[in-house]
Amino acid sequence: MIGRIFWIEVRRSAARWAALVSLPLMLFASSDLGRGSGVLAAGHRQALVLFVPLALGVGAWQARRDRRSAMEELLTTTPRPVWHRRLVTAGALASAAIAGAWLVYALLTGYIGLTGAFVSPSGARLFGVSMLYLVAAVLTGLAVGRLVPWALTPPLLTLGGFVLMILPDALLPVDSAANPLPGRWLLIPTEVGGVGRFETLTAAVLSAQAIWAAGLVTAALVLAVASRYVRLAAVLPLAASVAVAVPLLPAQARDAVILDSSATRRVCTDDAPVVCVTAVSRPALAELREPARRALRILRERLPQAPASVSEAVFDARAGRYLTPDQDNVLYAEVPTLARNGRVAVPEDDLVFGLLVGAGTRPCPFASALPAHERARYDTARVVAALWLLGETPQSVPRDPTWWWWLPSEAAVAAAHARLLALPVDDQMSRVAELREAELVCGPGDRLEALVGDGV
Amino acid sequence: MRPLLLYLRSRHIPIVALATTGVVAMLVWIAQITDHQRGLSLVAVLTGAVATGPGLAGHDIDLDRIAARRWPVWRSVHIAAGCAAVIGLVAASGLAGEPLAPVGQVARDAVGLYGLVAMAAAAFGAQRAWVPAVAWSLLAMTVLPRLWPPGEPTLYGRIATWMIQPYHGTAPTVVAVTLGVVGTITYARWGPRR
Repeated sequence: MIGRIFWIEVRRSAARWAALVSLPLMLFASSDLGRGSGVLAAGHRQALVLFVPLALGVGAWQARRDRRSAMEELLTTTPRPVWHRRLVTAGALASAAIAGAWLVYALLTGYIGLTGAFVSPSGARLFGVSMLYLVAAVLTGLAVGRLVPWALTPPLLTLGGFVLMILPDALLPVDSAANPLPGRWLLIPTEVGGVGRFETLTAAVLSAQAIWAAGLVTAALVLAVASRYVRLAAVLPLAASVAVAVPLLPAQARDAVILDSSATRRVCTDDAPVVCVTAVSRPALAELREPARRALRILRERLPQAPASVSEAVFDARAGRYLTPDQDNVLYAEVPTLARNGRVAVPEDDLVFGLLVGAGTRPCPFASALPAHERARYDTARVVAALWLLGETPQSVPRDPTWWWWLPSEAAVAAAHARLLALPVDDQMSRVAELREAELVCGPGDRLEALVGDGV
Repeated sequence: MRPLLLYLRSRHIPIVALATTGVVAMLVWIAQITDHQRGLSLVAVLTGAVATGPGLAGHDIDLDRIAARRWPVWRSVHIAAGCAAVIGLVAASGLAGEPLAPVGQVARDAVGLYGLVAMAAAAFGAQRAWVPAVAWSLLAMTVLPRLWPPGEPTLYGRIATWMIQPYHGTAPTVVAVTLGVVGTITYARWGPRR
């Protein structure tokens, strides 16, 4: 019986609109699918700024149905308890919202899987919590629509919901080392602490958010279904969920994000020399293979100490540095990929050049703290080393500002390069090799001076 | 005078005016505490437009239709007056400090969105008149710009997100005026859908 009423309600209510609420995720994600489904789920969480107002509007629209069709009086004459009827409607709307959203997510994830990009298990958990927020919004819409059954309620609630969702972003200070955001801000639905390609939320934070969202759903359900004083009971799940969730959150919001081991897992070529990328960058492996091997060959031929394999460097945004545990033997690659499909974004020659910068090393952590002119000298030394290894002129340096914005000026590179070439041939080799040694251990000292001598 | 009073009452104009004024006042306050968050002026104009929506039909559409009144004139004046009122209201926010947005932008958004609401009232009924305007604006403020690569927006990009573009551009203004004119004519000619 309940099942039949439920199906009628799914077909005859605003449930289809609740199911369509998440459809714009297709637009939102279309340019980002190469980054994997974890980024998709995090993006969906931020796009709740759109989905929550829409869900509120759908709920409020549904709540006015009885009045719109002048049924209110007739329905009060039925012996069936009123919460019974409301529960079925709420269930139909909530299930439709969940089904629609998961369908969109499954379609996009299926596409991501087909293109070989990264399908993240933790992305599904992140998305699951977003679902709870969406359901809470639909039910809150129902509750408000029932409380204020005016024709103006659905549009004004939608707009009000939107303003409410953009408020935290406008009011909160920007997270910085000096002024870190407290962890309890993670209870704001759109806040995911800036989850990137390689990252996910800790299990504790995900559970805290799930508990808080479940509390919101329960409270909204009570408001939407119950009548009169019983509605005050909505405070209880809210208070209980806050009491449980807040202790689970870290002191600072930035501690909520960790590297996702399934995202940084290595995917390697079968044949030697081994070239590896992270699971996130799998679509780039085929295009990385040949340039990577060319870079290895060049290093082996021109330097006494050279790495034997290539692996993608993971940038740890929290620590502010690349994870390069074994730079002596592994050439760590920054792989510029396209957000759209995860393929390599730059020509093969640029990729080789990027691998050879700093004689095959990633920048040391101290470099990001250098003042601008010292940083330019540091980068110049690293670029000149790459040019020497390649046997190219400074004019051949790639100039695409999307990826090479950090390159020092061509004049500085040309001057340093000319000074290096003016040295005896054996001296050139030993100086580049010394640069590599210094970069491997991240020792102190001016790299440019060590490479080309004083006075530059 | 009497027909006018009856018209105003049957179209819920007092409630619409009250609700819009209240919401715009609140938005002005929010703009002050958030250091002029972008999009608030659009939300203010939208509030006026969607609040007008349910009032684009009277209590009994059939009864209205058989009345010997020049409905096209009443309807187009309704849209135009609503539009002018909301432009004035949002521009008056300048009295309380920095205005929400330049008057040109407010006028463009109001013309386009009122036209959209009027068109939707003719196409889907007055109760649903708010849906296209709200949905399009929210999409334009959130996901639509992502369809185009970052940087200077293309012509299609500017047309699709006309309500958030700088107001001195041609394409967004053309879209807004077209929507305003076509919407008002459609609604004036056919009236709200039953």
